Amino acid sequence: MNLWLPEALFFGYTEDQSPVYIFILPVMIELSRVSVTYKSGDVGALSDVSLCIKKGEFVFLVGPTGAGKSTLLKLLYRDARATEGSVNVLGQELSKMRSSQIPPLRRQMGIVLQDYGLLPERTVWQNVAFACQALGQRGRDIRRKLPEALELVKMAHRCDAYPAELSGGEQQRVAIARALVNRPPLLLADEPTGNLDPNTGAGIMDVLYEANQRGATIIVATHDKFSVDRLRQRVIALRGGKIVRDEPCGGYGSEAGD
Amino acid sequence: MRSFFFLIGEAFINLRRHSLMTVAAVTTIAVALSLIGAFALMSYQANVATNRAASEFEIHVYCREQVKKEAIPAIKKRLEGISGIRSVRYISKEKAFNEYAKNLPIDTRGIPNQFNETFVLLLKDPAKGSQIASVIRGWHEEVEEVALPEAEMGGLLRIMSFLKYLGALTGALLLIGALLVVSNTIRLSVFTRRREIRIMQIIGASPSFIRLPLFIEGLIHGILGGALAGICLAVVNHYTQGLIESVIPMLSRYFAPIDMKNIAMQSVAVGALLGAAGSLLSIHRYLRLT
Repeated sequence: MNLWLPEALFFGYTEDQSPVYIFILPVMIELSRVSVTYKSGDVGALSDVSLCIKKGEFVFLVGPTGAGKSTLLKLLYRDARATEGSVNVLGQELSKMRSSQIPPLRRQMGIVLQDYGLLPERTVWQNVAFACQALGQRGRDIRRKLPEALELVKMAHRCDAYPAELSGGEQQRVAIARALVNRPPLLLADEPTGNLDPNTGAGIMDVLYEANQRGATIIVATHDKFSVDRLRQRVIALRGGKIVRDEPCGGYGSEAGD
Repeated sequence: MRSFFFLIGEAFINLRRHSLMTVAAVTTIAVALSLIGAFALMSYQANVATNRAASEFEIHVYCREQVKKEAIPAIKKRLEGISGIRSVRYISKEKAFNEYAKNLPIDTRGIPNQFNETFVLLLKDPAKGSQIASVIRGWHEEVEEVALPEAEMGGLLRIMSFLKYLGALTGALLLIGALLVVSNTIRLSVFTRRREIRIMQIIGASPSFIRLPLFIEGLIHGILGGALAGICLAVVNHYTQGLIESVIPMLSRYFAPIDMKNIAMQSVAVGALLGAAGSLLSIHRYLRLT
């Protein structure tokens, strides 16, 4: 069974005897009435957020700085904890999760951060391989998986380069390759194009979109108006810790301005 | 097993990559252990020296006049039978008088021999001196008097116990200090690695997987530091012993020769322990998932 495809249920026949199926997209993420409060103040806090993201969706999180985009993503990989409400990711309730269960959860997702997070003393290949070695995978399997992941982000030709020798866009591609190498069903990206020029950023978004076409659920927090308007995917706009807009095929909109 | 070798490899790669931190940690441990080792050797030598000095104390047992020569071997045997006595030396009445007369030939002329049959005892443990003396004093039939330098012995014993407590206290303080310094150094080296650790956590590596290379690193730091300290101690010990022998030759008989191979091995072992404990302490504090 292909895990990436939605489940199809046979519904019946039309008048001309062609079959009708209902496609049920399994729920990937479900937040219900989630609040996060910080002692230091309201920046990045969330109040009473509910949302549902299904398998195979591509979601943009937009909103001004401090609206809670990063906090929302951190909730999903359990880097932050909900003060109230329930966070359900990949069928697991994170608010009750013990810290020993965090690593297995994170292995099911790829995480891409604004600052790339590559290890400076390792080559591109070693950086991506590190994600496999850290999970105790076999060298043979790693050598088989890596070219594919590097090919996807179009970095296969630079696999012996060190991060310092790469441009920002290339480094971010390597980071995405590392996030995708274990084929996680879910990819979270926090401002992946934040440090890049618009053209390079568009290239990064294309890589993420490509991964989405291969079946991964993708959530991107971004300020990249150009890409959001271009790709026409689901857009969730946050402001002051609340969801102010949730459109299936939205644009960047005006709420996200600071 | 596969990941175990990977982790050990990681630890060694890290040692090389963070060579500056490695040097800092190793030298810190080496200095701490050298201090502890030097102190331990000093207090050991002080202990040996006072023990040797104490063992030179003699107990003199003077027999009653009516004790016959035939009874001497039996008494000697009884004295030797007392536990805690290292040696028993018999000095006959005549021998004692002759020696006395040799020194003072004029004064002793024509005077009858007033000396007693005497035994000179050497002790194994000077602390038991007065106890043994009182046992022998109880032999009223044969023994007239038992003489021992109680005041001097008491003084020496007090010095010994003082040295023992001082040694334990200072040693413990030094060890705690060393542990703190070492754990701080390792915490620093963990801190310089926070980026890597963060990435590992993001990727979903298990905590033990993140910790083990750091732990192995701490262990290796400790072993290297211990070895370095062992070498330092061996060199310093060699020269100071030579120095003592040449400057105050009469003192050197109070000191024990030291098996430096043993000391070096102990230093490495303590270093390993220190490195392991220090890294456990700092790793545990630092690596917490939210």
